[in-house]
Amino acid sequence: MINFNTLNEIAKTLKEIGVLPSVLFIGGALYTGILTLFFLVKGIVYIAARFRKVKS
Amino acid sequence: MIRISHFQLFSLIMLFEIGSTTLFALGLDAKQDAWIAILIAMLLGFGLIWVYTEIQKYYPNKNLADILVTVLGKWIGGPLVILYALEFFWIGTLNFREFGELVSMILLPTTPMIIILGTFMLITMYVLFSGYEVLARLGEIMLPIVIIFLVTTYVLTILSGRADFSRIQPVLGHGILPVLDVAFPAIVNFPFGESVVFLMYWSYVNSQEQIRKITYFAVGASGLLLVCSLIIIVTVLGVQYANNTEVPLFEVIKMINIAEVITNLDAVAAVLMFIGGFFKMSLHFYGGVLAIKTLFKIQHEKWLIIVSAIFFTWFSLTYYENLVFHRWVGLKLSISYIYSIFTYFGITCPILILMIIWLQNKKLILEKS
Repeated sequence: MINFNTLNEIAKTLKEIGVLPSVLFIGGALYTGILTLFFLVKGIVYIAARFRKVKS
Repeated sequence: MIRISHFQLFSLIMLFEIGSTTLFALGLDAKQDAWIAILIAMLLGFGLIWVYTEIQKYYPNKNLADILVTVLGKWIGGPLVILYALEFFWIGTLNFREFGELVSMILLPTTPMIIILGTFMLITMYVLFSGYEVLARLGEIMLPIVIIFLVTTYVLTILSGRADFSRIQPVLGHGILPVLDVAFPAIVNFPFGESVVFLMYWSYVNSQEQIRKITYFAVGASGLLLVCSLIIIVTVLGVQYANNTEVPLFEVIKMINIAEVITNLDAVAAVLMFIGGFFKMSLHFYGGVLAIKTLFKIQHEKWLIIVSAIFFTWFSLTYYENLVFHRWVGLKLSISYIYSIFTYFGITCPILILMIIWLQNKKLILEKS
């Protein structure tokens, strides 16, 4: 369940610290997720390629 | 083609790592064991340097911006390059304002901040207009001065009989956990994790094979200087007083008095501040400029430097309301948590990027075989 109080606290802190650090905070967190996904996709592609190679 | 020598790289890394760090008393939350926290953070920092140099090893002639676009593609890598550029600017403004505040506090209390920061920025722009090679050569000249001044300060402090080594005892009196808590992520992030900016510069080094060795050596040497600096600060001022002063090393230097002859060495602290601050700020600022230049393939670097310098100075002047806010943003918000800005860009992202590069390389080898 989403905790709206926590979200409110985060929004308040971001407002207090200004635009640039907020962009870096959100961007950094977002990119940690994106890079993890990217890594997982690449990993699956690699395992699939390896599996195909072994099979052939 | 810009090329820098091994010693120039060594000098730049050392000046960068020493930068402002000697002026703070890092890790004092671990009380008298702060020096152990720095040593532990340095060891973890070596691991980070291995990650950074491993990334560079796969793409020896490319900087971070090129590497990100090559590995992740234009649409995923491009925004990350912009974020990295903003992060370099962000750390640069932290250093920039810090030095403005210190100069204002110690040397020029009645001069408006805009004059101090403006002059500082004009000098930086003048050096950067001449190119990165000039900055590297300047580092080569300045490093011996900084080391001589720092070591002289330590020796004179001990000779003046102010150091009381019982102040760093008992060693690990509260156990290792509080020390580890302080070391990671705060001290690993600052100053060791900041070395990520060198991914923008390593491609300029003469022989790429030596980069890792030189970086380890420079970070190790600067880490030991930081440990010495902290031991001196704690043994002279004590944990409580060191925690309450704005610039602990400055207080230590003011206490040097040898036979009423060698005294009032405040100017030494000022020189250390100027040189360290200049290199740390310039390397971050130019790192950001280079990232944008590489991403958008901008030809006229001078205009980019001018525009970035205006934004940089304006931000430093308007964003930081006072030194307390600045210290909270810089030493707490940016480095102290696992979700801090420095942790994302200095630790998490580089490790993930290296893992992606590894996988891509393994897949390529598999396809070729």
